[in-house]
Amino acid sequence: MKWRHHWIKKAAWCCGLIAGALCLAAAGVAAAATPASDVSDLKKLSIEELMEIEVETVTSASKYEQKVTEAPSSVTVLKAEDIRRYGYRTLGDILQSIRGVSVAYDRDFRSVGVRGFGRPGDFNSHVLLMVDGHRMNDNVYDKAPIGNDFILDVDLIDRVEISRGPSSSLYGSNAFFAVVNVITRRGKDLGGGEVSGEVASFNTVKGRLSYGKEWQRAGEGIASATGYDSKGDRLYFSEFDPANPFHDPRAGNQGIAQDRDGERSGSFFAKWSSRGFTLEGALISREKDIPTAANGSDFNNPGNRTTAERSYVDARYDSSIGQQADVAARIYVDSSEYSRDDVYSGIVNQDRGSGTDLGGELQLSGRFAERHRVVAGATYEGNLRQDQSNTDQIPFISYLSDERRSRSWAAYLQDEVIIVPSLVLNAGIRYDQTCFSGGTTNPRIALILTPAQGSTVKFLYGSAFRSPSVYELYYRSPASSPPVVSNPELKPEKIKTYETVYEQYFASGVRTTIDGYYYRIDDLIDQMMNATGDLVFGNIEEVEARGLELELEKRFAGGAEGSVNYALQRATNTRTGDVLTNSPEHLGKMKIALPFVNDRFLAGIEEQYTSDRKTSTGRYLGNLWITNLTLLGRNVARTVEVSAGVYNLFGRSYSNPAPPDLIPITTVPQDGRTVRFKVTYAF
Amino acid sequence: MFVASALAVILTAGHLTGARAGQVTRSEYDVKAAFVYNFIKFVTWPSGEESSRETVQLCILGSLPDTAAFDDLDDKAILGKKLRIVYLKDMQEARNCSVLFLSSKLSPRLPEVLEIIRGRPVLTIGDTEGYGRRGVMINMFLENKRIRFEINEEQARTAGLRISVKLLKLAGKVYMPDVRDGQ
Repeated sequence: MKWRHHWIKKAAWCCGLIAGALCLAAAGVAAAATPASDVSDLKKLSIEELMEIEVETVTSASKYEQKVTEAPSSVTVLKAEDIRRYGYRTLGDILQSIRGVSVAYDRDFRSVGVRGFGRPGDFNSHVLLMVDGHRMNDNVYDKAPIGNDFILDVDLIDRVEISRGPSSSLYGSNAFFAVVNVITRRGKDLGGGEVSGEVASFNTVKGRLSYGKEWQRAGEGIASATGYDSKGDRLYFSEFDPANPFHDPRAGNQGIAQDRDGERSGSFFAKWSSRGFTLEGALISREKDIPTAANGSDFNNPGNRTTAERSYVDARYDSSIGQQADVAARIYVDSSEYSRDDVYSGIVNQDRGSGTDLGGELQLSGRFAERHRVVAGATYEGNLRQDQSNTDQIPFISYLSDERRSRSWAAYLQDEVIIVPSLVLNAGIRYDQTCFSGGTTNPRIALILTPAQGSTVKFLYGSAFRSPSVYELYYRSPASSPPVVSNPELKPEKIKTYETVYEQYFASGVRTTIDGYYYRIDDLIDQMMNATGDLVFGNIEEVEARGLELELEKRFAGGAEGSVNYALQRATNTRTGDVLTNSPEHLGKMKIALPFVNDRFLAGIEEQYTSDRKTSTGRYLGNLWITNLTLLGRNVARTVEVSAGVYNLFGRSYSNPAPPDLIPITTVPQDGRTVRFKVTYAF
Repeated sequence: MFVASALAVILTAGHLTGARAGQVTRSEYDVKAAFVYNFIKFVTWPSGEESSRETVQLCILGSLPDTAAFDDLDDKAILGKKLRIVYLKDMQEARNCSVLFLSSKLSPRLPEVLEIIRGRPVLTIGDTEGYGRRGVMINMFLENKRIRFEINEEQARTAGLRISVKLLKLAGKVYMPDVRDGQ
């Protein structure tokens, strides 16, 4: 019976987790015996020798990016080393390994689910994605790409800081569930050139050439270019199989989409900094073939594809003013271009979204009266272009040509007050004057206690918002069936979150986290059918969710590292009483990095568990265990690094719930076992 | 279950890799504690009350992410005396310390603490950005994953402490009375 089976699975997983925790704790106790000798051997070294040792940092100390580390929330930092150890191929792979996060792929776009909210078709608009503090959610769709459409090659990442919870009090729109800030590597870290090549399953090749250096009087710089090409998988869809009695009218080719999953991209990144000033630019162009016959288009047609281009230039300056204050300023220009080709009976219909924006931000922070640390800032953004169009190519017919311009600005203030040394109050508030939906004010309050050495307890309340995108407000398609109409009256979505976090550090490198939260979303935007039979976006939904997350991390004396985490989450639509689609009740992840042969080789093993997920039809997709294994090897001179990875090691075949534009497809098949072989040479 | 077997692997691997020599990266606070131990050897306290004591009190004010390495230093021999690690509950107790390690959590109250120990021969050490120019005598920072340090020589001299020239030479940055930035 399903109920009993479910209970047994829960109990088994709980036992596994407890066993895991006990093992790690036992290992911690056992390994605690060795660190005593570790520090003894360090004490015998001279200062000159100590200065040669490379350290593994526990805390992340950054300058302008201080915003995220100061944010009173549960923060997870993933370093470049982790990206290499576990063979993460995209930002999506990185996020998939994080506690409480799951990533779904619809054969075009990878979308992230956080805290039980992972609506298929959501453009990751409920997560704020940034690169070096530069907002990546575009100004037409609010899309934040995390796959091969992400602007940076993962090899250029120094670390990813994921700050959970509502952060609109500092960052404004999209900082609904989390803020993901990707921080890039510095020129001095490369110290020369780097060339990398990889081959992987499905005829995939990727190549990168980078150069970075620090100069005596001219600061430091880095430049890198990457090319990627994949032929993609041969996919079978039963909905398009003529042999299936309930097949879709467009069925053909026995339901097989052959050579329709290809992907190609080229990206470039450059950054130069000197004396507090940084100039950065990046661009990407990506094309993906769509095998799923989305939006009612012809099945197995090579003309179905999406093209995306994104570029930006960002300049920032930060400096101290006297002993007590710092100032940071940023200006940027950003451009995005997205087009989607859907073929209908041989005629190509193209949907386009183009955006250009220009903006700036000024932030001042300072210490006052010994107890206060105040941060104040203001941002301004001018959207020079937020255009959408929909046209048939041959013969040329224009169904939609919408052009918009807008501006938005915001001001924020945050004060961190030391009430007593073990009690800190962090209160912040931000007012946003949005482009099309009026003003919104979002506060956040956190109480941070450090009752004992190594213990931290945080109590947090915050509200966050997401402005409706230009796509949700103004897109219309009167000629489709059913017609799509616009809704300029859309209001921002709002979320209120209450959270408690407890972090504890134990003897030598063991860290545990317990995170409990409750949130409520109001005015959630979703597409519905109105009285006249048109599809329209409206602020119609309400969601409530509760969750509990546990994490245990352990750093061993010899460089081995392991972590295990579990998330229990229950998110329901309060209007209908239903559990949300694609919202697994349980998520469990485990990873271990084991160095061997004197640190020259390293094995990174990952195990990820996702419980049943509901699809749009109400049917459930079963639970899954996915195993990934990466072997990393370096030569003695550390100039060559070789990585061999197997993803979905046991070849588990599984699917993700599909977004509504893929109807009749309700579940999208994911990759089986895939491999990747990569070589990097530093010169 | 796969989880249990994988964890068994961690456990055994943890033992296997624990006893190796010549590892490349070390835990941040293990190395910082070793630095602190070394710094003490390069500082001379004024003759008087301090030098007649049998122990060198190394006090820690504010919470640290990892205290195991400091705990290890307790009862170790240094400069012919015993090193005592004390975790201060109250800022006022700082006056009785020979060495005072200030965590980043103390940042907002730094001026207050420095005022409490003014004129007393207390060696202040920190590992937070900006501490050097704000008056902490030896401040550690990270550069390219290695630990470096800056010295506020003026503060040390005012407190009656003498920092060996060798240490000053190894420092990344030295704050002296007439020089605002750098050497």
